[in-house]
Amino acid sequence: MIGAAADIAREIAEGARSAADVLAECKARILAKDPDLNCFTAKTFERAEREAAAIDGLQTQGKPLPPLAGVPYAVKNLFDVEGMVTLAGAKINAGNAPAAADATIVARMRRAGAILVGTLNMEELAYGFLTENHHYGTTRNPHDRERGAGGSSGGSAAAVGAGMLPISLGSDTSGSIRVPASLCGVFGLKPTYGRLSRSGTYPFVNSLDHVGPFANSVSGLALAYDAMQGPDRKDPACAQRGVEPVGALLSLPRGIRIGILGGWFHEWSDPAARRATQLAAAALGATEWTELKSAEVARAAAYIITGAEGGALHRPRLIERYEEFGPSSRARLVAGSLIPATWVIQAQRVRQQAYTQAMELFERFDLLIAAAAPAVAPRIGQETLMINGRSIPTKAGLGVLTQPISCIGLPVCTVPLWPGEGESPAERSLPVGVQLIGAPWREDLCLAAARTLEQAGIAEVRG
Amino acid sequence: MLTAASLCAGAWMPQRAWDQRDLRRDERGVCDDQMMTEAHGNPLQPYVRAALALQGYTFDEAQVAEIVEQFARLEGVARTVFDWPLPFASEAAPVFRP
Repeated sequence: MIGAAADIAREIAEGARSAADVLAECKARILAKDPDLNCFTAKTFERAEREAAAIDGLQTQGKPLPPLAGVPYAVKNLFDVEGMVTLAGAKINAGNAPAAADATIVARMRRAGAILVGTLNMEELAYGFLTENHHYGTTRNPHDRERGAGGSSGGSAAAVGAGMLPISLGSDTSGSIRVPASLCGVFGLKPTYGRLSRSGTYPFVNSLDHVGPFANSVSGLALAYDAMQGPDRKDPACAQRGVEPVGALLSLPRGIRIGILGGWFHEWSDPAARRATQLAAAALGATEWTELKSAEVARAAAYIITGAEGGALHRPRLIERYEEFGPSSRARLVAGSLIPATWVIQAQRVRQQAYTQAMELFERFDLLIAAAAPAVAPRIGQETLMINGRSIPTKAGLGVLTQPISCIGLPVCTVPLWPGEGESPAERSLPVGVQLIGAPWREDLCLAAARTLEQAGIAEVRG
Repeated sequence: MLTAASLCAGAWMPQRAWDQRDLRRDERGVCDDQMMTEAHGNPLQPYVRAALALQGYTFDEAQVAEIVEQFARLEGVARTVFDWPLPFASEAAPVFRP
């Protein structure tokens, strides 16, 4: 397992290691492990060597180093990387012109000293929870090669879970950071909608798209999050808020009120997911159950909005180049483009009401917790999940616990727990994530709770 | 009350029969002869054909059948949204900013 980002940056700053040495170790891990897992769609080692040399140059000159100096990372292949074609997991994009510049948050990571080593596999066009990509292959789970990594940011989560990287970046429209973080056993942060700029990222559902980091430590997550914050007028949804750094604030305030989400979230958590939630609740001292009554309908609203916006976005190319889209997404996208306006408007009204109900919950609680996925990672190709005696399609079911939260834009830190529940030894060795859900703009509390669980040894990334 | 409509939206059927639908049938995600036959009998099919034409799509019958199936899933989920009680004057969140 590669070290935590904070440790790597400190060692480089102290001169104990060079950025070039760290990069060489990272490259060796990627070359050894990736053929088995299929996380990377491209490696950017030449760029990485230039960036590492620049950091080592600063260190040699005795100049102050930025906070992520020499820390390797990679990005889901929907982020613009200068000189590379932004694929978004789709063959239909392969002939596009290379990006003229880095996406805003990639540029911010570069300024923070991080070293870009590649781009990562994802579900085609970010539409799905599996990363069984028709064009670029399936990303496998680092803890069981017969199982999936989740999606749509599957490559991002699996590369961190496999110990290739301390940090990666992904996106989350309905759960695409939280589901793969849960299945691969890594930390993931989906910030408040509008917190991080999406400028230079390939869109899917404008009113739901978020971007955020994965990491093998909470401090790494916080360092990356701090580096990427800040207003950006190029993204119309990006809040014009100043940077609110969390790096030094990772401790929970006294008297924090934490509620455990029951109802929908409990019913759609299998014994492993329930056990993980229970472990997190106990470690955080949470005992009170509560309910987000609109969870089911918020999920449905997100589903309709996703279909309509995603379908409308791709309609022109679906008309011209239908066969070039993957078979698992093209008919869904076309169907989405046929959704009548009344459905979308009703979904948006529901969304507003669900948000109002959630804010009422946050008058009683500072933080809410729930499982991030209904079960451990499914086997590759597994068509259904059995959750407490009910069968649901894997493709849609993996997002059942994340969609109600991203529908209303709340910040969530997903932490990896190891509940040891399941019918087989293989299942008992797999992680399940728990969502630590905050009120808007309270990423600090989500990360502080994650840090508490990490320090208690409850949440950890296992190599 | 928990309904399965938003989880496993499948081929179209009347609202009252929703909870009695055959999940194994709904979970099928591939286009086959049976599905095409069902698509022709699906009450949503005329809407889908008209909307496809309106939007400028041209598809063969197998592709239309797949799209009808996918639209039926969306329609099932939309029922959950329509059934949710909302005050008459409740506003939409067209540009969502928490």
